[in-house]
Amino acid sequence: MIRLLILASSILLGLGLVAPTMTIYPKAGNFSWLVELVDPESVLPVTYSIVGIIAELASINDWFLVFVLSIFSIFFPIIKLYLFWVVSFSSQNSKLINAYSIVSRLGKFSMAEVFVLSLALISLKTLPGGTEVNLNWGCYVYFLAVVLSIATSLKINISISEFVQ
Amino acid sequence: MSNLSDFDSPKRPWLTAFVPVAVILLAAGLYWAISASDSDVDGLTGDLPNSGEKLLSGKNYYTYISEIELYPSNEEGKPWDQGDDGPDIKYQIKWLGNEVFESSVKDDSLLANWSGLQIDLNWSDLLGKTLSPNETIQAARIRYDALSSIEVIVKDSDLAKDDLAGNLNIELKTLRIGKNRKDFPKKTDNCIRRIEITVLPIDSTLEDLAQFMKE
Repeated sequence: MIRLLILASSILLGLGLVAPTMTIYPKAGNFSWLVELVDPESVLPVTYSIVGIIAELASINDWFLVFVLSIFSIFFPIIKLYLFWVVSFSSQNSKLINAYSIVSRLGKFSMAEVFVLSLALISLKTLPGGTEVNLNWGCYVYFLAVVLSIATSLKINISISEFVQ
Repeated sequence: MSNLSDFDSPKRPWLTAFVPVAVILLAAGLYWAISASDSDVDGLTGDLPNSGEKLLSGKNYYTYISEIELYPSNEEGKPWDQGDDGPDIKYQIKWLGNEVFESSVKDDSLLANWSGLQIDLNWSDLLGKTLSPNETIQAARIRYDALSSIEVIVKDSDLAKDDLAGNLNIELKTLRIGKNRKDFPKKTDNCIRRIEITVLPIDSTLEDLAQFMKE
């Protein structure tokens, strides 16, 4: 059951990282039609995946955000699933206590990536000129991967608690 | 876990833990490959300008001269302006006997271009000015009828009196959507070597209009 959850979460995470996450519809307030005339390409809707957002930030040398988003959106969830998979095989041996503590610590950071994404969305939602940001299916797939990951974490915690008792 | 025995445990759990990493990469790679092939197909069916299409009867069109080239001398075979200055070119379009458009003046040039887009802003406009597409698109608005024509009057703008460079009658049935180049010989009553008339449907999207007018 735990490994099925991990595999499902892995598939969803893989899809969620490269699937369309958000589409930005640029507007320039009352002058939108003018910008459409003079520079139509600049007001075309742009769709980004999570990996695409990070690549875009890297292209403008915003390394701080590249670092934060890469850690919390890509590497942290992958490492978490990797450790969950290890823990799922570490039953009834000396590694259990260590694994338990790792899983417990990771559990505290389970929503970190969601928090980072939420922050990004909130900041984009307040763009001037009526620019709109719409979420795409990739975002929901990613959130589902996070939810499954949290469920896995809970399941592991329950199993470990049962074993310790 | 508690539902597994030590017998089930792999010898190297840290190695087998790359299974979820491989699954993540596989899912991402698979989606990327599928979406990349889809975008290749989309690229073949992009919107292209309908340049060269016939005009449709009863439909309205923006019409403007995107380029005018004059012969180096005026109707009398003399230089256009006193001194070495070239002519200050402007044109008017008449449709059904009425002047429906007059262009801005292009100073000292034998070859003048108009883009069809123009915004005139003054300092006072900084306090607030409302612009509409109709103001910004510098073109005549005409309705196509195969039997009608437009008159293009090209002048050398002068302070005292404008000098006529040529008066051309263009039958609408000879025009197509996009740019229409017309060449003319030098005559005693014509100093226009070439004009390029751009015709665009009024109901075009702003993006298409901008694309045509930018070219």
